[in-house]
Amino acid sequence: MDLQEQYSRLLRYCFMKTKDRFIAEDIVQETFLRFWQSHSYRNTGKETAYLYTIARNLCIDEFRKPAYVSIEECAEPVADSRYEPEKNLLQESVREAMDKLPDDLREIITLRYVSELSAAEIGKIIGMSRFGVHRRIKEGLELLKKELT
Amino acid sequence: MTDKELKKQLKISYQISESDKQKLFVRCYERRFLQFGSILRIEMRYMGIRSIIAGIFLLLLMYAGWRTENPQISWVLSGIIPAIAVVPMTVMGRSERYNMAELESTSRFSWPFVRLVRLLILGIFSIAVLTGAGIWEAIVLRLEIRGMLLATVIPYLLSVYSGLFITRKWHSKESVYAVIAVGLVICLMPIILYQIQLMETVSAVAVKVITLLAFLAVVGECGVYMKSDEAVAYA
Repeated sequence: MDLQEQYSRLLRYCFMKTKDRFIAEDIVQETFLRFWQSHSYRNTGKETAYLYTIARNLCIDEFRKPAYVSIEECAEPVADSRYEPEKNLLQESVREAMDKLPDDLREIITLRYVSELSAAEIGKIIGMSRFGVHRRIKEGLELLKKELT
Repeated sequence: MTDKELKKQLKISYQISESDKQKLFVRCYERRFLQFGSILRIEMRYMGIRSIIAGIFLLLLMYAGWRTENPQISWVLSGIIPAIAVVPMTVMGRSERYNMAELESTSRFSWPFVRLVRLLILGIFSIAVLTGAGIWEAIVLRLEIRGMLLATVIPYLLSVYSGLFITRKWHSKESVYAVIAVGLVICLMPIILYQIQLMETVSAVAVKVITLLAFLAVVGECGVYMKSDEAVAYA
């Protein structure tokens, strides 16, 4: 896959996890650097799963960090459309519905429909069988639809 | 809402525009995948078309000497060979001047490694030139070892040493002119020494010692050049 495309998909995944464009971007770049440094794993044919596993662990590390308030947060919010996902009522409600999903379901749905990974790849990342992933996706979509109606 | 529409909305909801940071990172990251062969090809370009033209000129000169069977051509040759060493050196100097170091350091190879590759190419080029000239001198001009060392090897080594030294010390436009000027002096030196017949007075042992010293100086300079601080290259 094209690196640019891979970067964007990984960024969407990290953005969903962290809810912060800047942190998500830092995590994505750190993920690629760590991926490059680990020569032993790269040639085993499971690159995507490995990449997402690194990103997932880095997002968890980010949550473990002590909470702090940055200077930017203290200052008046400045509208910058470049770093904001498109504002749209339907999309806003989809994101709100996603936030209400249990963590594991939200992650699976994100990996499948936002990062566009296959069920087999998702299975490798979260340690689940392909059928298990399919079942969870179906469950997640049902819950999402319920939230949206 | 249908499943299809929901899936589409999910993708759109988390769409993020591409930032400059992303573009820069992707560009730099892709360079990390450069293979050794690629870096060798990139660095080969530093030899430049001028080196190839100088090499062809040298071959033509050798051919002229072979046709005319004129032994004095060896001294003309000794004036040309150091100039060939100067040509790639000026290109290397130009690379330093335009801060190519910064660009090259974004590749997966370290800056000393890039310099090592460059020196390797210069070394292969030098060996090819010296071997060609040596074989030609031995067969056509029937020169003995002493004559070969005096006529080609010593001026060439001096030229390489001075070129590397100047390139390492100065990173300005003047360094290129300095390399050319010193190269010219080295090129003219053997011809002048031959004209005043000073070459005949130097013993074979002295010639070998001078060659060894010049060789060690070049090797030492190569080591220093390779390890010299990156900050100096960016200056």
